[in-house]
Amino acid sequence: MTRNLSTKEINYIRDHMSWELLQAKKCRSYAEGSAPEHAGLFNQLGNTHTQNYRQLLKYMENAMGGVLH
Amino acid sequence: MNIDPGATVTSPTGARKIGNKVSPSLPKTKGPDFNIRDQFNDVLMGEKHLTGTYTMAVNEAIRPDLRALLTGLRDQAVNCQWQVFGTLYNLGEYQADIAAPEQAADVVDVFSGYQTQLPYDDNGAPLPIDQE
Repeated sequence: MTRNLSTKEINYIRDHMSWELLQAKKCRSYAEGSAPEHAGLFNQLGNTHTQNYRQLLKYMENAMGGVLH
Repeated sequence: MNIDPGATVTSPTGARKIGNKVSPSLPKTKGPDFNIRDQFNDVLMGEKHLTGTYTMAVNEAIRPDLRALLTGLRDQAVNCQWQVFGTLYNLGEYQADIAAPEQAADVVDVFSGYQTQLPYDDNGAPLPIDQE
């Protein structure tokens, strides 16, 4: 079932998906070149941001009534 | 994330500060290269950005399920910020000036006095106010 969202809500979701993605990429990239004791934290944070991105996407899929592809 | 907020260090000029000794695991030379310290600070800035913008999004949400999702993601960002800050703090990247005890006493003094202005008593009953 679709549900109505305000344009403002959608814009916030859109922005946050972009920022979560950017943050996940940064963490992944910084983990690659850093010492093991620091890579652990970067990877942990990168995973969190990846999951957060997926949660927002899932919310939008449910809002429009299903996945696109 | 475990940090010791009671840790203190003494600066080269003798000032005592809240914080830890700078860890040797961070690069000593501070050149134009984008090093691990810059990477940590970059990620920290990103987390701080997310805590602020998620809070704004929560304030603007209409749908309760969206508000709950955003509140949860805000909490995630707050937690991530704490992880990065704590790591940097433990590596000695944060050193803060210690306030004089008189400054804390001053706050207590001033705001103890303001208590007479509180409009409800200890039991939650409204106190009479003068209408102009």
